[in-house]
Parts: sequence; structure tokens; C-alpha cells
Amino acid sequence: MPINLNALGAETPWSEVTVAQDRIDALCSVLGDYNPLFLDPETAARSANRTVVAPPTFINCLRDFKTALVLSQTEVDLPLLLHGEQVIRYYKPVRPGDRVLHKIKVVEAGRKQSKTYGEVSYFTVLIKMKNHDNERLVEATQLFFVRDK
Amino acid sequence: MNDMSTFSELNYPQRLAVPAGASVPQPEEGPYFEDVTVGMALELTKPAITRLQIARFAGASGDFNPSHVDEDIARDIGGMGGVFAHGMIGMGFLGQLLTDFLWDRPLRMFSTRATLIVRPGDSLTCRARVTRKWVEDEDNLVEFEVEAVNQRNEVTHTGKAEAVLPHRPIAIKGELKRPYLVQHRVIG
Repeated sequence: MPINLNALGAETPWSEVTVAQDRIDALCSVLGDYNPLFLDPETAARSANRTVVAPPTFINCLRDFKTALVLSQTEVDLPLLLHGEQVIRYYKPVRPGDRVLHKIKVVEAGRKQSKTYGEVSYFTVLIKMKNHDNERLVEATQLFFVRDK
Repeated sequence: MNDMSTFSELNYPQRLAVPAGASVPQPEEGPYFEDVTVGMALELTKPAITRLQIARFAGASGDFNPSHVDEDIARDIGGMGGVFAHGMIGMGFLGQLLTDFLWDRPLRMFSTRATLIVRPGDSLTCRARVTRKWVEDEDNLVEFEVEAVNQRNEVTHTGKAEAVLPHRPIAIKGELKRPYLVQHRVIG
């Protein structure tokens, strides 16, 4: 089923979330990534970061309203959705306790030919994370494909 | 007397129930620009992915797409032959490979493309290779090409990363100087 291409430009408002150590713990635990820079304040204090920081793919964990946006605006049939590509750019470290603002916007939507699945719909979302000083922390684009059947 | 600890007071091996023998990086410091050469290779082999791990990743990320957690929907509606792992699990493994090596040196960019579905039971080996070193303004940058392959050596993820590494300080008349400043003094 094709997606709603009019979802292009749809965006969420900025939403605040406090980065919690237990969210970082959950991601590290499931990945089996026990790097103490993400987990242990004592080790992190001796590093250039000075404090614990979030691992590089933590932005994937700020998904609460993203799914709602994708579902409501692009009218995606979720079982037909495939993740294509993700690009993350880092500007400043994200630390537990930080109150960060994030938002998501559909920045690309269309139809294209896939080698594997034939003609598919695709859309790209831009996820932004900034602090209350309006400084960029992390930004990511995610490209998704949606098969017709 | 209250000898109870709050969860946040536990050390991380307790909080995460880190398995005995798990690999934990503990370098003194991250690499310097001079330590990295084009062609340098890194590798990390992860245990086979389990259905439980996929379900736990859904919880950690909030991505409960039924393609990952509901066998019936994934098979009958998704038509993918059953559940498969989030592409972001492989990206997380590749991120671990990079940060195990880089330690506290910052990434500037990290990208991956999911090229093949990863099923429960697949074991990924993550690889990175330094493909470029360059200087941009005052930043010393290193580029990595990354890929993950499954146990059949089929590529499941490809990608790139860029990291910012400092120069190793050098001693001049007993003082540690960054080469950039030394060069500036010689030229200027």
C-alpha cells in the first residue's frame, strides 16, 4: 500500500525529555556494550568527557512520538516498513540528566524502484536534538522504505 | 538502620547484570591522530542475536514494529518469513566497535545502510577500516568504512564514520606543545 506522500513536511513540535541513565543502561545492556564511559561516573570522570555520555546510537531511543507521527502522517502499514539508511551527526555530547529538546520532520517522501522489492514508497525523517541554549546536540536522518505488499 | 541501596547507587555491573567474562574496554586514554594509519582495521564479533534481545531492543528504543516482535504478523502480513532484528541493532554493534577503539574521542558523523535482513540466530561480525586522514580547520579527522557481516559472510550493514582525534603533545624545551602551535610558531 503506497504511503501518503502529502506527509512531506509534517513535523512534531519540540518536545522535552530528560536523558535518564536507565535509558542508557537499557540500550547498552541489550547491545552487550559495557563501555564504562556510558555507564560508570568514576571512569567517565577520568576521561575527556568528564561525565558519563550517551552512546552514539542513543538518538534511536527518543522514539515516543516519532512512531505516532510516522503512523498518522505517512499512513504506513508498519509490517511493510523497512529501515534503509541512517546518518547521525554529532555536535555536543548528550549526558544523563540533560534536559534536551527533540523534534522530527518528514523531509523527503516519494516512490522509487528497489532492486529487491520492485517499486516502493520511501520517506526520510530528520530528527533534531538540542539543548535549552539552542545548541545542536545530535541530528539524524533516517530513510525508510515501504513495500506495496 | 537502612542498608538498602537505590537502583541508581548500584555500580553498573550490578545494574546491567554484566555477564562474567564480558568484554569491557578500559584504556587509559583514547588514540591520538598519530596512532591511526590508513588501512588500520578493527573487528568485533557479537554473540548470535536472540528473539529476546530483539524484544528488549524494542523496549529500549520504543520501536515495536510487529516485523520485529510479532511472528504471525511478520510472516503473514509482512511477508518476510518471520521476525527480523531492527537494523539499529547492527548499527549499535558497529557503534560499539568504534567507541571501544576511540574511547573518549568524539565521533563527528556515523552512518549505516541496512543491506540485508538479520534474523534471530544470526551472528554479526563488525569491521572498520581507516580509509582517510585529513585536517579540516583545526580538527584532525579520521574516516572509517564500516560493515557488518553475518555468519555466512553476507554483508548486512555498510557505512562510514568520522572521528576527531587530537595530536599527541610533543615536548619542546620541557613543555608539552601541540604540533599545530609549534608549526604556527615556525611559520609565523
